[in-house]
Amino acid sequence: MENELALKRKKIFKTDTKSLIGAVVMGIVFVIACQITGQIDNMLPWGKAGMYLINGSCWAFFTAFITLIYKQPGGIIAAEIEALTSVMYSPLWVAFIFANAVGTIWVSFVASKYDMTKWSHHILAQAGVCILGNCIVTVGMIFILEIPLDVAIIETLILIAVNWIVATVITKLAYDAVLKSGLVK
Amino acid sequence: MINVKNWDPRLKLTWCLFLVLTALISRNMMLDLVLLLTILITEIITEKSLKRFKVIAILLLIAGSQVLIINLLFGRVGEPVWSWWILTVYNGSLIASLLGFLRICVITISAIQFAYNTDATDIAQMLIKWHIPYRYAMLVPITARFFPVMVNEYHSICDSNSARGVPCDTVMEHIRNLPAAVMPLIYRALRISNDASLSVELRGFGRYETRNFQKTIGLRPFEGIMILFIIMMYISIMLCIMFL
Repeated sequence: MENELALKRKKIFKTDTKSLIGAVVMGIVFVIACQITGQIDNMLPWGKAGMYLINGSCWAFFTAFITLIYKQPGGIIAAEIEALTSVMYSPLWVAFIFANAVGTIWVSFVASKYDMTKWSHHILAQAGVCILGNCIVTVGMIFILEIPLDVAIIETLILIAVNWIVATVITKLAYDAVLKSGLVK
Repeated sequence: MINVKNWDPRLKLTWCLFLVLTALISRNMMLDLVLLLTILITEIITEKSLKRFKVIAILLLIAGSQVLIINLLFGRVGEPVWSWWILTVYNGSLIASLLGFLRICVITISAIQFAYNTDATDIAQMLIKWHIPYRYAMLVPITARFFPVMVNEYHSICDSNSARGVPCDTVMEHIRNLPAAVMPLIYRALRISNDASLSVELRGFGRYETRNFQKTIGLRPFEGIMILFIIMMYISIMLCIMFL
């Protein structure tokens, strides 16, 4: 029975109505959380220098969390809802379209290989989300915001380091809590 | 006042993409300024005011100030124009900041204009015309429908927290209480999605391959000509940027 559950969990696609609608609703929660954390970062000194540490961690957490719960195409749907709605609060929305898509595809890939029960699985999943996603956002920062290359690279390295640790811890705890609640199978 | 809402969404999307892509490839401040003025003029012609951009203008000014601070502190392009202790301001940094600010204005305001002028159902129909299965296309109107629902859910969680002695009135209080509000919001979202998916299933969502709409979209001749004109304009701007 446990093996069966693990095998079920390793599927990449889940196209039932509940997953699609769930991805949309969670995508909206993703947007709300990112908007609030963006405001928090804007008030803090590092946010004023364009380094969105809390917002970035929130983004990485939701990207992985939604993909783990609803798989694909739910993950991409939620990620793209966030990217397109971020027009309302971030000028980097064009970069987010690609960053979010790459992040969610990476998590699906990791979730298809592992059952996501250990810390190491979440560390690996968040590695891809944080490194690939932040690299794409860096390209956006350089070409859209005209930020100097060296500054963008240093900001990205700090963002990756902080987001990776924070988002891994939150994703593992939240994912385990949601599974325990029985609201998702 | 011209009612842009009745126009085909494909024309509005082409216009939005033209502005965004032109702003992305442009390295010229004048071109970005012309694009921004074009958006503002079209907005005044169609809506007779710019009040829809009031909130986003504040956010753009914040983002613009961040770009300016970073460029002033770390930018090393061009000639030094002002120096004090370890801080030196270069003229290239100011130009780069202004270019970045104009670009983000064009990219953001054009997308906002598209979002305001296009109905979610029209976008769903546009996706269906592009042969995307309606189960996926209908997610756009569902997003528009559930957005206020989830915002209300968030406010009700904040109200519950306030009733338990954790105030949640000011922006700072909202920020401080975020961790306590997010997990309940996720649980509520899961519950709402369960109920909503059951409701749409009972209404026959996905039972048939096609779906009827009260109002259908169709490309009129002048809209088709406009789309071709916009595409040609984009190609000419791209060629000018590449060869001039």
